[in-house]
Amino acid sequence: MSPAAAPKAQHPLRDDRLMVDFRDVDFSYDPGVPVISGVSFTVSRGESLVILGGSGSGKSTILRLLMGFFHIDGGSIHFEGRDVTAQRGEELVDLRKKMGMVFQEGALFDSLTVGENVGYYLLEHGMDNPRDLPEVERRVRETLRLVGLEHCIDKMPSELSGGMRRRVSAARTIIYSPDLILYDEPTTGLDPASCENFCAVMNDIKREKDVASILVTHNLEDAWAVGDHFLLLRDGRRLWQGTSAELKAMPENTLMKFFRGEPL
Amino acid sequence: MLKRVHSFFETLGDFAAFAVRATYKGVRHPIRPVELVEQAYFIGWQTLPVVLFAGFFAGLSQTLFLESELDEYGAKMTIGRVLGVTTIRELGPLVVSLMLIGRVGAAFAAEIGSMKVNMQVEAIEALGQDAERKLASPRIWGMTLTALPLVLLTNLSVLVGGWAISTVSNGMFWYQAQMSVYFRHVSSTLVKPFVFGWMISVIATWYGLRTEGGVRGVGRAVSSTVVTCCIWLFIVNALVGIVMIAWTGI
Repeated sequence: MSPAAAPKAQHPLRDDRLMVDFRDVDFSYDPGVPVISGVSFTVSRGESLVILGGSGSGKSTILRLLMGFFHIDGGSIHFEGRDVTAQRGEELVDLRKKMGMVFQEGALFDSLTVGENVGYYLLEHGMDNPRDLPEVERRVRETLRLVGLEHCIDKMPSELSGGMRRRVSAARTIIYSPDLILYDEPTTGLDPASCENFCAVMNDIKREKDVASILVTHNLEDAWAVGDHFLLLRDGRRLWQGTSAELKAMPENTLMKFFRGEPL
Repeated sequence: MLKRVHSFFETLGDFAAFAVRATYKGVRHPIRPVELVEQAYFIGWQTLPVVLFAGFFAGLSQTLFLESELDEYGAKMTIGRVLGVTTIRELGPLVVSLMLIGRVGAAFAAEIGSMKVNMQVEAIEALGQDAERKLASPRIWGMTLTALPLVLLTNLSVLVGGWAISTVSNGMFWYQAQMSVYFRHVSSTLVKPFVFGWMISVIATWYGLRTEGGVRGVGRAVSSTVVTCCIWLFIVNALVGIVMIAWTGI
Protein backbone atom coordinates (compact mmCIF):
# COMPACT_ATOMS: atom_id res chain seq x y z
CA MET A 1 0.00 0.00 0.00
CA SER A 2 1.46 3.39 -0.96
CA PRO A 3 1.56 6.28 1.51
CA ALA A 4 -1.01 8.11 -0.59
CA ALA A 5 -3.39 5.21 -0.20
CA ALA A 6 -3.00 5.09 3.55
CA PRO A 7 -6.37 5.10 5.25
CA LYS A 8 -7.54 8.25 6.97
CA ALA A 9 -7.51 8.22 10.77
CA GLN A 10 -10.69 6.19 10.99
CA HIS A 11 -10.21 4.06 14.06
CA PRO A 12 -13.02 1.82 15.19
CA LEU A 13 -12.96 3.63 18.52
CA ARG A 14 -15.70 4.66 20.84
CA ASP A 15 -15.50 8.45 21.25
CA ASP A 16 -16.75 8.50 24.83
CA ARG A 17 -13.60 6.64 25.82
CA LEU A 18 -11.29 8.66 23.60
CA MET A 19 -8.04 9.49 25.40
CA VAL A 20 -5.60 10.71 22.77
CA ASP A 21 -6.32 12.64 19.61
CA PHE A 22 -3.06 13.25 17.76
CA ARG A 23 -3.98 15.13 14.61
CA ASP A 24 -1.88 16.17 11.58
CA VAL A 25 1.14 16.84 13.74
CA ASP A 26 4.30 18.32 12.25
CA PHE A 27 7.46 18.64 14.28
CA SER A 28 11.14 19.33 13.72
CA TYR A 29 14.04 19.73 16.14
CA ASP A 30 15.90 21.95 13.66
CA PRO A 31 14.10 24.27 11.25
CA GLY A 32 13.68 22.71 7.83
CA VAL A 33 14.43 19.16 8.98
CA PRO A 34 11.03 17.58 9.71
CA VAL A 35 11.00 14.68 12.14
CA ILE A 36 7.22 14.17 12.18
CA SER A 37 5.04 15.13 9.21
CA GLY A 38 1.27 15.06 9.27
CA VAL A 39 0.92 12.11 11.64
CA SER A 40 -2.54 11.41 13.06
CA PHE A 41 -3.96 8.75 15.34
CA THR A 42 -6.36 8.30 18.22
CA VAL A 43 -6.26 5.99 21.22
CA SER A 44 -9.13 5.09 23.55
CA ARG A 45 -9.21 3.78 27.11
CA GLY A 46 -8.39 0.08 27.39
CA GLU A 47 -6.73 -0.02 23.97
CA SER A 48 -3.15 -0.21 22.93
CA LEU A 49 -1.61 1.36 19.90
CA VAL A 50 1.70 0.03 18.62
CA ILE A 51 3.89 2.43 16.68
CA LEU A 52 6.28 0.45 14.54
CA GLY A 53 9.21 1.98 12.75
CA GLY A 54 12.92 1.76 12.18
CA SER A 55 15.54 3.75 14.04
CA GLY A 56 15.16 7.48 13.49
CA SER A 57 11.62 7.20 12.17
CA GLY A 58 10.34 9.57 14.87
CA LYS A 59 8.44 7.08 17.03
CA SER A 60 10.00 8.06 20.37
CA THR A 61 9.54 11.71 19.45
CA ILE A 62 5.78 11.09 19.24
CA LEU A 63 5.75 9.96 22.88
CA ARG A 64 7.71 13.04 23.93
CA LEU A 65 5.31 15.28 22.04
CA LEU A 66 2.41 13.62 23.83
CA MET A 67 4.14 14.38 27.13
CA GLY A 68 4.51 18.00 26.07
CA PHE A 69 8.32 17.94 26.21
CA PHE A 70 8.51 19.83 22.91
CA HIS A 71 6.31 22.31 21.05
CA ILE A 72 4.85 21.13 17.75
CA ASP A 73 5.10 23.09 14.50
CA GLY A 74 1.62 22.22 13.28
CA GLY A 75 -1.49 20.16 14.04
CA SER A 76 -2.93 19.44 17.47
CA ILE A 77 -2.52 17.00 20.34
CA HIS A 78 -5.42 16.44 22.70
CA PHE A 79 -5.35 14.27 25.79
CA GLU A 80 -8.67 13.67 27.54
CA GLY A 81 -10.04 16.65 25.62
CA ARG A 82 -7.31 19.03 26.79
CA ASP A 83 -4.99 20.58 24.26
CA VAL A 84 -1.52 19.42 25.31
CA THR A 85 0.20 22.02 23.15
CA ALA A 86 -1.66 24.86 24.84
CA GLN A 87 -0.58 23.83 28.34
CA ARG A 88 2.31 25.67 29.99
CA GLY A 89 4.15 25.43 33.29
CA GLU A 90 2.10 24.01 36.13
CA GLU A 91 -0.87 23.09 33.93
CA LEU A 92 1.42 20.88 31.88
CA VAL A 93 2.94 19.34 35.00
CA ASP A 94 -0.58 18.54 36.23
CA LEU A 95 -1.55 17.04 32.88
CA ARG A 96 1.49 14.75 32.96
CA LYS A 97 0.26 13.30 36.25
CA LYS A 98 -2.44 11.54 34.22
CA MET A 99 0.14 9.98 31.92
CA GLY A 100 2.96 7.59 32.63
CA MET A 101 6.04 6.72 30.65
CA VAL A 102 8.16 3.59 30.73
CA PHE A 103 11.60 4.42 29.38
CA GLN A 104 13.87 2.37 27.17
CA GLU A 105 16.48 1.67 29.86
CA GLY A 106 14.06 2.09 32.75
CA ALA A 107 15.44 5.52 33.77
CA LEU A 108 15.31 4.47 37.43
CA PHE A 109 16.74 6.81 40.03
CA ASP A 110 20.09 5.23 40.85
CA SER A 111 20.34 6.56 44.38
CA LEU A 112 16.96 5.17 45.46
CA THR A 113 16.01 1.57 46.23
CA VAL A 114 13.51 -0.28 44.08
CA GLY A 115 10.80 0.38 46.67
CA GLU A 116 11.62 4.10 46.80
CA ASN A 117 11.61 4.26 43.01
CA VAL A 118 8.19 2.65 42.81
CA GLY A 119 6.82 4.80 45.63
CA TYR A 120 8.42 7.97 44.24
CA TYR A 121 5.23 9.45 42.81
CA LEU A 122 3.26 8.90 46.00
CA LEU A 123 6.01 10.27 48.24
CA GLU A 124 6.54 13.33 46.06
CA HIS A 125 2.85 14.10 45.69
CA GLY A 126 1.66 14.43 49.24
CA MET A 127 2.06 11.00 50.87
CA ASP A 128 5.34 11.70 52.65
CA ASN A 129 3.84 12.08 56.13
CA PRO A 130 4.88 9.34 58.55
CA ARG A 131 1.22 8.28 58.92
CA ASP A 132 0.99 7.69 55.15
CA LEU A 133 4.11 5.53 54.92
CA PRO A 134 2.41 2.18 55.74
CA GLU A 135 -0.12 2.84 52.94
CA VAL A 136 2.69 3.76 50.54
CA GLU A 137 4.54 0.57 51.40
CA ARG A 138 1.40 -1.50 50.93
CA ARG A 139 0.81 -0.02 47.49
CA VAL A 140 4.46 -0.41 46.53
CA ARG A 141 4.40 -4.09 47.48
CA GLU A 142 1.11 -4.64 45.68
CA THR A 143 2.44 -3.00 42.51
CA LEU A 144 5.73 -4.86 42.64
CA ARG A 145 3.76 -8.10 43.02
CA LEU A 146 1.93 -7.26 39.78
CA VAL A 147 5.25 -7.11 37.92
CA GLY A 148 6.66 -10.11 39.82
CA LEU A 149 9.37 -8.24 41.72
CA GLU A 150 8.12 -8.00 45.29
CA HIS A 151 11.30 -9.68 46.54
CA CYS A 152 13.42 -6.84 45.08
CA ILE A 153 11.89 -4.04 47.14
CA ASP A 154 15.09 -3.25 49.05
CA LYS A 155 17.51 -3.75 46.18
CA MET A 156 19.27 -0.92 44.37
CA PRO A 157 18.64 -0.50 40.62
CA SER A 158 22.28 -1.41 39.91
CA GLU A 159 21.60 -4.90 41.31
CA LEU A 160 18.85 -5.61 38.78
CA SER A 161 19.00 -7.05 35.28
CA GLY A 162 17.84 -5.00 32.29
CA GLY A 163 14.46 -6.71 32.20
CA MET A 164 13.90 -6.26 35.92
CA ARG A 165 14.76 -2.56 35.68
CA ARG A 166 12.11 -2.08 33.02
CA ARG A 167 9.53 -3.94 35.07
CA VAL A 168 10.35 -1.68 38.03
CA SER A 169 9.97 1.29 35.67
CA ALA A 170 6.54 -0.03 34.70
CA ALA A 171 5.65 -0.48 38.39
CA ARG A 172 6.78 3.10 39.12
CA THR A 173 4.35 4.25 36.44
CA ILE A 174 1.30 2.15 37.22
CA ILE A 175 1.33 2.76 40.97
CA TYR A 176 -0.49 6.06 40.49
CA SER A 177 -2.93 4.64 37.95
CA PRO A 178 -2.35 6.99 35.01
CA ASP A 179 -4.97 7.02 32.29
CA LEU A 180 -2.37 6.61 29.56
CA ILE A 181 0.90 4.66 29.62
CA LEU A 182 3.59 5.29 27.04
CA TYR A 183 6.16 2.54 26.52
CA ASP A 184 9.34 3.67 24.79
CA GLU A 185 10.98 0.53 23.34
CA PRO A 186 10.79 -1.22 26.70
CA THR A 187 12.12 -4.55 25.47
CA THR A 188 15.09 -3.38 23.41
CA GLY A 189 18.15 -5.41 24.32
CA LEU A 190 16.27 -7.98 26.40
CA ASP A 191 16.48 -11.73 25.90
CA PRO A 192 13.37 -13.46 24.47
CA ALA A 193 12.19 -14.74 27.86
CA SER A 194 12.43 -11.26 29.40
CA CYS A 195 10.60 -9.80 26.39
CA GLU A 196 7.79 -12.29 26.80
CA ASN A 197 7.67 -11.58 30.50
CA PHE A 198 7.47 -7.85 29.93
CA CYS A 199 4.73 -8.20 27.33
CA ALA A 200 2.74 -10.23 29.83
CA VAL A 201 3.18 -7.41 32.33
CA MET A 202 1.96 -4.86 29.76
CA ASN A 203 -1.12 -6.96 29.04
CA ASP A 204 -1.81 -7.46 32.76
CA ILE A 205 -1.63 -3.71 33.32
CA LYS A 206 -3.96 -3.02 30.42
CA ARG A 207 -6.47 -5.59 31.62
CA GLU A 208 -6.37 -4.79 35.34
CA LYS A 209 -6.11 -1.00 35.16
CA ASP A 210 -8.16 -0.42 31.98
CA VAL A 211 -5.62 2.10 30.71
CA ALA A 212 -4.81 3.27 27.23
CA SER A 213 -1.31 2.50 26.13
CA ILE A 214 1.03 3.35 23.30
CA LEU A 215 3.96 1.07 22.64
CA VAL A 216 6.83 2.24 20.48
CA THR A 217 8.97 -0.61 19.25
CA HIS A 218 10.69 -2.28 16.34
CA ASN A 219 10.25 -5.70 17.90
CA LEU A 220 7.52 -7.54 15.98
CA GLU A 221 6.86 -10.16 18.65
CA ASP A 222 6.12 -7.46 21.22
CA ALA A 223 3.92 -5.68 18.74
CA TRP A 224 1.80 -8.77 18.04
CA ALA A 225 1.61 -9.65 21.73
CA VAL A 226 0.35 -6.27 22.85
CA GLY A 227 -1.14 -4.30 19.96
CA ASP A 228 -4.81 -3.69 19.19
CA HIS A 229 -3.99 -1.06 16.59
CA PHE A 230 -0.88 -0.40 14.56
CA LEU A 231 0.73 2.65 13.09
CA LEU A 232 3.64 2.09 10.71
CA LEU A 233 5.94 5.07 10.63
CA ARG A 234 8.68 5.75 8.11
CA ASP A 235 10.78 8.94 8.05
CA GLY A 236 8.29 10.66 10.31
CA ARG A 237 5.32 9.92 8.05
CA ARG A 238 2.41 7.57 8.57
CA LEU A 239 2.79 4.73 6.10
CA TRP A 240 -0.07 2.55 7.20
CA GLN A 241 -2.55 2.46 10.04
CA GLY A 242 -5.11 -0.12 11.05
CA THR A 243 -6.14 -2.83 13.45
CA SER A 244 -4.22 -5.91 14.40
CA ALA A 245 -6.62 -8.04 12.34
CA GLU A 246 -6.14 -5.85 9.28
CA LEU A 247 -2.38 -6.07 9.55
CA LYS A 248 -2.53 -9.84 9.95
CA ALA A 249 -4.67 -10.04 6.82
CA MET A 250 -1.98 -8.35 4.75
CA PRO A 251 0.58 -10.42 2.82
CA GLU A 252 2.99 -12.28 5.07
CA ASN A 253 6.09 -10.30 4.17
CA THR A 254 4.45 -6.86 4.51
CA LEU A 255 6.23 -5.95 7.73
CA MET A 256 9.60 -7.18 6.48
CA LYS A 257 9.14 -5.00 3.39
CA PHE A 258 8.25 -2.14 5.68
CA PHE A 259 11.40 -2.51 7.77
CA ARG A 260 13.52 -2.92 4.63
CA GLY A 261 12.22 0.47 3.45
CA GLU A 262 10.35 -0.96 0.44
CA PRO A 263 6.90 0.23 -0.66
CA LEU A 264 4.09 -1.78 0.96
CA MET B 1 29.56 34.86 12.23
CA LEU B 2 26.03 36.25 12.49
CA LYS B 3 24.82 32.77 13.37
CA ARG B 4 27.36 32.55 16.20
CA VAL B 5 26.35 35.92 17.62
CA HIS B 6 22.70 34.89 17.42
CA SER B 7 23.50 31.59 19.14
CA PHE B 8 25.48 33.39 21.87
CA PHE B 9 22.62 35.74 22.70
CA GLU B 10 20.13 32.88 22.53
CA THR B 11 22.20 30.93 25.07
CA LEU B 12 22.58 34.01 27.25
CA GLY B 13 18.83 34.58 27.17
CA ASP B 14 18.16 30.95 28.01
CA PHE B 15 20.59 31.14 30.92
CA ALA B 16 19.12 34.39 32.28
CA ALA B 17 15.57 33.04 32.03
CA PHE B 18 16.62 29.81 33.75
CA ALA B 19 18.40 31.71 36.54
CA VAL B 20 15.32 33.77 37.35
CA ARG B 21 12.89 30.87 36.92
CA ALA B 22 14.79 28.30 38.97
CA THR B 23 15.42 30.77 41.80
CA TYR B 24 11.81 31.96 41.84
CA LYS B 25 10.43 28.42 41.80
CA GLY B 26 12.17 27.78 45.12
CA VAL B 27 10.09 30.61 46.59
CA ARG B 28 6.82 29.95 44.82
CA HIS B 29 6.85 26.28 45.84
CA PRO B 30 8.88 26.56 49.02
CA ILE B 31 11.70 24.08 49.34
CA ARG B 32 11.00 21.53 52.03
CA PRO B 33 13.25 21.79 55.12
CA VAL B 34 14.51 18.25 54.51
CA GLU B 35 15.71 19.23 51.01
CA LEU B 36 17.53 22.28 52.37
CA VAL B 37 19.12 20.29 55.17
CA GLU B 38 20.32 17.70 52.63
CA GLN B 39 21.91 20.42 50.51
CA ALA B 40 23.35 22.26 53.51
CA TYR B 41 24.93 19.01 54.66
CA PHE B 42 26.53 18.34 51.28
CA ILE B 43 27.44 21.93 50.40
CA GLY B 44 28.29 23.20 53.85
CA TRP B 45 29.23 20.49 56.28
CA GLN B 46 31.12 18.27 53.84
CA THR B 47 32.95 21.22 52.29
CA LEU B 48 33.91 22.74 55.64
CA PRO B 49 37.11 20.69 56.25
CA VAL B 50 38.35 21.48 52.74
CA VAL B 51 37.81 25.24 53.00
CA LEU B 52 39.23 25.41 56.52
CA PHE B 53 42.32 23.53 55.39
CA ALA B 54 42.74 25.73 52.28
CA GLY B 55 42.07 28.87 54.29
CA PHE B 56 44.62 27.98 56.95
CA PHE B 57 47.41 27.51 54.42
CA ALA B 58 46.35 30.55 52.37
CA GLY B 59 46.67 32.66 55.53
CA LEU B 60 49.95 31.04 56.37
CA SER B 61 51.55 31.72 52.98
CA GLN B 62 50.12 35.26 52.77
CA THR B 63 51.60 36.14 56.14
CA LEU B 64 54.91 34.58 55.25
CA PHE B 65 55.66 37.06 52.48
CA LEU B 66 53.51 40.03 53.61
CA GLU B 67 55.19 40.21 56.98
CA SER B 68 58.67 40.59 55.50
CA GLU B 69 57.40 43.19 53.01
CA LEU B 70 55.75 45.17 55.80
CA ASP B 71 58.90 44.86 57.87
CA GLU B 72 60.79 46.85 55.24
CA TYR B 73 58.46 49.78 55.93
CA GLY B 74 58.58 49.24 59.68
CA ALA B 75 54.94 48.20 59.68
CA LYS B 76 55.29 44.54 60.60
CA MET B 77 53.02 44.91 63.60
CA THR B 78 50.08 45.70 61.28
CA ILE B 79 50.20 42.25 59.70
CA GLY B 80 47.04 41.18 61.56
CA ARG B 81 45.12 44.12 60.13
CA VAL B 82 46.48 43.75 56.59
CA LEU B 83 45.71 40.06 56.56
CA GLY B 84 42.30 40.71 58.13
CA VAL B 85 41.29 43.26 55.51
CA THR B 86 42.48 41.18 52.53
CA THR B 87 40.84 38.10 53.98
CA ILE B 88 37.51 39.63 54.84
CA ARG B 89 37.21 41.58 51.60
CA GLU B 90 38.76 39.18 49.10
CA LEU B 91 40.58 36.05 50.17
CA GLY B 92 37.87 34.39 52.26
CA PRO B 93 35.04 34.69 49.71
CA LEU B 94 37.38 33.71 46.85
CA VAL B 95 38.87 30.65 48.60
CA VAL B 96 35.40 29.40 49.51
CA SER B 97 34.02 30.07 46.03
CA LEU B 98 36.88 28.28 44.30
CA MET B 99 36.39 25.29 46.59
CA LEU B 100 32.64 25.37 46.00
CA ILE B 101 33.21 25.43 42.24
CA GLY B 102 35.60 22.47 42.33
CA ARG B 103 33.83 20.36 44.87
CA VAL B 104 30.14 21.23 44.69
CA GLY B 105 29.57 22.95 41.34
CA ALA B 106 31.33 20.15 39.47
CA ALA B 107 29.33 17.58 41.45
CA PHE B 108 26.04 19.34 40.64
CA ALA B 109 26.84 19.40 36.93
CA ALA B 110 27.97 15.76 36.94
CA GLU B 111 25.01 14.50 38.98
CA ILE B 112 22.33 16.36 37.05
CA GLY B 113 24.13 15.76 33.76
CA SER B 114 24.21 12.01 34.38
CA MET B 115 20.53 12.08 35.25
CA LYS B 116 19.87 13.98 32.03
CA VAL B 117 21.70 11.56 29.73
CA ASN B 118 20.15 8.56 31.52
CA MET B 119 16.68 10.07 30.99
CA GLN B 120 16.08 10.43 34.71
CA VAL B 121 15.29 14.11 34.22
CA GLU B 122 12.63 13.18 31.67
CA ALA B 123 11.39 10.55 34.11
CA ILE B 124 10.98 13.21 36.81
CA GLU B 125 8.91 15.30 34.41
CA ALA B 126 6.94 12.28 33.28
CA LEU B 127 6.13 11.65 36.95
CA GLY B 128 4.41 15.02 37.16
CA GLN B 129 7.22 17.08 38.62
CA ASP B 130 9.02 20.18 37.44
CA ALA B 131 12.66 19.13 36.95
CA GLU B 132 13.95 22.66 37.50
CA ARG B 133 12.09 22.94 40.79
CA LYS B 134 13.10 19.45 41.86
CA LEU B 135 16.77 19.50 40.84
CA ALA B 136 17.89 23.11 40.48
CA SER B 137 15.97 25.20 43.03
CA PRO B 138 17.05 23.31 46.21
CA ARG B 139 20.67 23.35 45.07
CA ILE B 140 20.56 27.06 44.22
CA TRP B 141 19.00 28.05 47.52
CA GLY B 142 21.13 25.56 49.43
CA MET B 143 24.37 27.03 48.11
CA THR B 144 23.20 30.65 48.31
CA LEU B 145 22.36 30.26 51.98
CA THR B 146 25.25 28.01 52.99
CA ALA B 147 28.07 30.03 51.45
CA LEU B 148 27.97 32.76 54.13
CA PRO B 149 28.77 30.58 57.17
CA LEU B 150 31.48 28.86 55.13
CA VAL B 151 33.07 32.22 54.31
CA LEU B 152 32.90 33.43 57.91
CA LEU B 153 34.57 30.28 59.21
CA THR B 154 37.14 30.38 56.42
CA ASN B 155 37.99 33.98 57.25
CA LEU B 156 38.74 32.81 60.76
CA SER B 157 40.88 29.91 59.55
CA VAL B 158 42.89 32.25 57.29
CA LEU B 159 43.61 34.47 60.28
CA VAL B 160 44.53 31.46 62.38
CA GLY B 161 46.92 30.35 59.61
CA GLY B 162 48.49 33.82 59.57
CA TRP B 163 48.72 33.95 63.35
CA ALA B 164 50.41 30.52 63.41
CA ILE B 165 53.37 31.74 61.32
CA SER B 166 53.44 35.39 62.31
CA THR B 167 56.39 36.62 64.38
CA VAL B 168 54.49 39.50 66.00
CA SER B 169 53.08 38.95 69.47
CA ASN B 170 49.73 37.22 69.86
CA GLY B 171 48.15 40.27 71.43
CA MET B 172 49.35 42.62 68.68
CA PHE B 173 48.28 40.22 65.91
CA TRP B 174 44.72 39.80 67.16
CA TYR B 175 44.39 43.45 68.18
CA GLN B 176 45.35 44.48 64.65
CA ALA B 177 43.16 41.78 63.19
CA GLN B 178 40.09 43.05 65.00
CA MET B 179 40.81 46.53 63.61
CA SER B 180 39.88 45.13 60.20
CA VAL B 181 36.36 44.33 61.32
CA TYR B 182 34.69 47.50 60.08
CA PHE B 183 31.41 47.65 58.23
CA ARG B 184 33.07 48.78 55.00
CA HIS B 185 35.18 45.62 55.01
CA VAL B 186 32.69 43.22 56.54
CA SER B 187 29.93 44.29 54.15
CA SER B 188 31.95 42.65 51.34
CA THR B 189 32.18 39.38 53.18
CA LEU B 190 28.46 39.51 53.91
CA VAL B 191 27.39 40.24 50.33
CA LYS B 192 29.84 38.21 48.22
CA PRO B 193 28.93 34.73 49.51
CA PHE B 194 25.28 35.20 48.51
CA VAL B 195 26.23 36.49 45.07
CA PHE B 196 28.92 33.87 44.43
CA GLY B 197 26.91 30.98 45.89
CA TRP B 198 23.91 31.86 43.75
CA MET B 199 26.03 32.33 40.63
CA ILE B 200 27.96 29.06 40.98
CA SER B 201 24.88 26.98 41.67
CA VAL B 202 22.90 28.53 38.80
CA ILE B 203 25.73 27.93 36.31
CA ALA B 204 26.29 24.35 37.51
CA THR B 205 22.63 23.34 37.43
CA TRP B 206 22.11 25.05 34.08
CA TYR B 207 24.97 23.12 32.50
CA GLY B 208 23.74 19.93 34.18
CA LEU B 209 20.20 20.27 32.85
CA ARG B 210 21.44 21.01 29.33
CA THR B 211 23.82 18.07 29.14
CA GLU B 212 23.65 16.12 25.91
CA GLY B 213 25.76 13.44 24.29
CA GLY B 214 26.21 10.66 26.83
CA VAL B 215 29.22 10.28 29.10
CA ARG B 216 31.32 12.66 27.03
CA GLY B 217 28.56 15.25 27.40
CA VAL B 218 28.71 14.89 31.19
CA GLY B 219 32.45 15.52 31.06
CA ARG B 220 31.88 18.60 28.93
CA ALA B 221 29.21 19.88 31.32
CA VAL B 222 31.55 19.52 34.33
CA SER B 223 34.45 21.13 32.53
CA SER B 224 32.30 24.00 31.24
CA THR B 225 30.88 24.54 34.71
CA VAL B 226 34.31 24.85 36.31
CA VAL B 227 35.76 27.11 33.60
CA THR B 228 32.69 29.37 33.34
CA CYS B 229 32.33 29.67 37.11
CA CYS B 230 36.02 30.55 37.56
CA ILE B 231 35.95 33.21 34.86
CA TRP B 232 32.73 34.78 36.11
CA LEU B 233 33.87 34.53 39.72
CA PHE B 234 36.74 36.95 39.10
CA ILE B 235 34.65 39.24 36.90
CA VAL B 236 31.77 39.41 39.39
CA ASN B 237 34.22 39.73 42.30
CA ALA B 238 35.67 42.84 40.68
CA LEU B 239 32.21 44.25 39.95
CA VAL B 240 30.98 43.61 43.49
CA GLY B 241 34.20 45.14 44.82
CA ILE B 242 33.61 48.31 42.77
CA VAL B 243 29.99 48.53 43.89
CA MET B 244 30.90 47.97 47.54
CA ILE B 245 33.63 50.61 47.43
CA ALA B 246 31.24 53.06 45.79
CA TRP B 247 28.72 52.29 48.53
CA THR B 248 30.85 52.05 51.67
CA GLY B 249 34.11 53.77 50.67
CA ILE B 250 37.63 52.27 50.64
